[in-house]
Amino acid sequence: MKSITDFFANLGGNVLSAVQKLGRGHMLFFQMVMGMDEILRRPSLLIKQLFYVGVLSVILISLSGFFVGMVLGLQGYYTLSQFGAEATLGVMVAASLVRELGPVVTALLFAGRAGSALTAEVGLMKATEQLSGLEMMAVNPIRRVLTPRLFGGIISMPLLAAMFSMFGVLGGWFVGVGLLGVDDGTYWSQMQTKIDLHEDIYNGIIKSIVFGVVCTWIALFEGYDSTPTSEGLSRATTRTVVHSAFAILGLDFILTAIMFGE
Amino acid sequence: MTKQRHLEIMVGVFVAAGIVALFFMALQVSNLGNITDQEGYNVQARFDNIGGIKVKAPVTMAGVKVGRVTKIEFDKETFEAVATLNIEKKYDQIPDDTFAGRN
Amino acid sequence: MSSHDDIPLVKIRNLHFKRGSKMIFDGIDMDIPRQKVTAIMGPSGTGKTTLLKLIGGQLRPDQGTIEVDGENIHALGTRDLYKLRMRMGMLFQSGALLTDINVFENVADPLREHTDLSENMLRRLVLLKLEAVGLRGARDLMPSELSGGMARRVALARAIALDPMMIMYDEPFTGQDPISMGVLVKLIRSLNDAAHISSIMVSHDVRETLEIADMVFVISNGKVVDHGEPEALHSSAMKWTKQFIEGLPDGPVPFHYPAPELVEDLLD
Repeated sequence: MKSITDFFANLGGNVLSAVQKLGRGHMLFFQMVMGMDEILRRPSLLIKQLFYVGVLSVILISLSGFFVGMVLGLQGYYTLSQFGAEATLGVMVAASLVRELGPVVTALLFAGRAGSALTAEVGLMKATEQLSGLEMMAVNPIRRVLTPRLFGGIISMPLLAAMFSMFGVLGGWFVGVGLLGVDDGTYWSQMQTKIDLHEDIYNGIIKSIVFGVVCTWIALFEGYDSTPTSEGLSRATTRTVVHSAFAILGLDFILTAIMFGE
Repeated sequence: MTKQRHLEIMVGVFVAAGIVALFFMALQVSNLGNITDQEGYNVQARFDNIGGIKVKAPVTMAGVKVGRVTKIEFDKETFEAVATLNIEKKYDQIPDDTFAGRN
Repeated sequence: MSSHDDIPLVKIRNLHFKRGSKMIFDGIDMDIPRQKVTAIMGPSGTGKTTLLKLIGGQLRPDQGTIEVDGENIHALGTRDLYKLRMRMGMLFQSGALLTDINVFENVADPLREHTDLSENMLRRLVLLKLEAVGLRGARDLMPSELSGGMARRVALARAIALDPMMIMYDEPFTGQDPISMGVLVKLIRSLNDAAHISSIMVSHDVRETLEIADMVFVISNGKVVDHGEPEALHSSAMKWTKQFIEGLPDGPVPFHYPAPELVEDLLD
């Protein structure tokens, strides 16, 4: 009997603390967004974060995009050639990249590369009293430290996703046209006929902006909310990657349903 | 300060490259490059059954694309589908007695 | 600097603070005077750092009030609290320098944040502050390249960047070699006397602290057990103070953590 009440008490406690965490996360997001004027006043803070979050991810994203495009070219060619439809290879590669793989894989890589780094950095700043130090200097650490990082992530993500898709299309072209002999003109013209600027490209960009907000937000919140010990930090970093992955894939379904589901 | 300069240059290159990629996707990958200039003219075609044709589907003559489907409606008087086709201006010599078919 | 020089810099009344179920402060009263070096001493774990955070408004007391320069710090709105904090400096144990920018930028940061000085003025001011702590030559180093003592001195330069009325030092001498300890003692003293910055210091380094402090409060078990000038403490009649100042292993603070009799434990 006691174990049953214990079970429910634990369950209730866990649910309550999860809801509390959700509340803290949203309050932090609101405070970060309210700090926007800080980056208008000191743009150098934002530029620095664009470097750490964006520039340092370029090589990873571009190479990954190229490889994913090559695989799409290869797989697409084998499947399509069975129906004599190799001519539509460009469409297949581009559509998969622009609609799904570009935003989603970029966001997943971003969570692993930049998200975990942000969590570790902010968590360490907390552990080494840097955030307290700012507070005692009458500087709001949320505005000074978190806001520029948030916007760095939001701006970087769509740019990185576009690079991923571009290198993907080129990777597909390299395999399809360069190695497997699909006609160059067909590859591009089929793509251009079927990929729609609004329907496909804009929606892809919107997706990656949403992912940028969510990934960076999760990473910063986990860092800011972490227990300032080595164990707490390593847990927070893991949670960043896991929660980001869930959020990206879940949101991708919802966004896809809204955008393409007429 | 040189470090700051270096940083700014790298970020500039990053943003520029991202914008290039966005333009690449818009111009080279999507249909932006060959969207019909709206100066073409509209013709209407009636079908018993519209089949799989959708708005924005290409209109071809002898296999060459000459325009796009811009609107599909149902005529409740005649029980037919009415497709509005936007034909590019340069193809202004299409004979009056041309029949539309779908493929 | 202030219109009410007659009231104490920090006035603590009936302060209670709990962390979880553990009582940290159980009714503390304290008047910290202006323009003096006031030391708050006590064994590790008595919440000395917590006291500084309470004074700085980073933590809220469960009961009681803290007035800084005549203002109840926990009744202030964010804006006024930040205004007051601009006049308070705090030196953290680790230095708490921002690790992603160099020494110069660290000291410049509060100035960039709170003033609209031209880049030229800013540079001069930062160099003067760094000169005051003897690290003008280290301005291009990153915090990771500094020794612990240097990091604390840079943090000190940062803390005095806005010319505060007071600085709180959190264990300034812990983990320092004798030379940097001497440097810090000299710096704290000269900032206090020459720049008229009042100093509050928490520490358990008895010798250095008694050497530099004008006034000492001794805290134990959540209460102020003794206070007075350093000389008075040396001759304090209280057993507890005597044990603490002379570093005796046994006394009112027992050597043994509370446990059953050894014989009983061994035969168990």
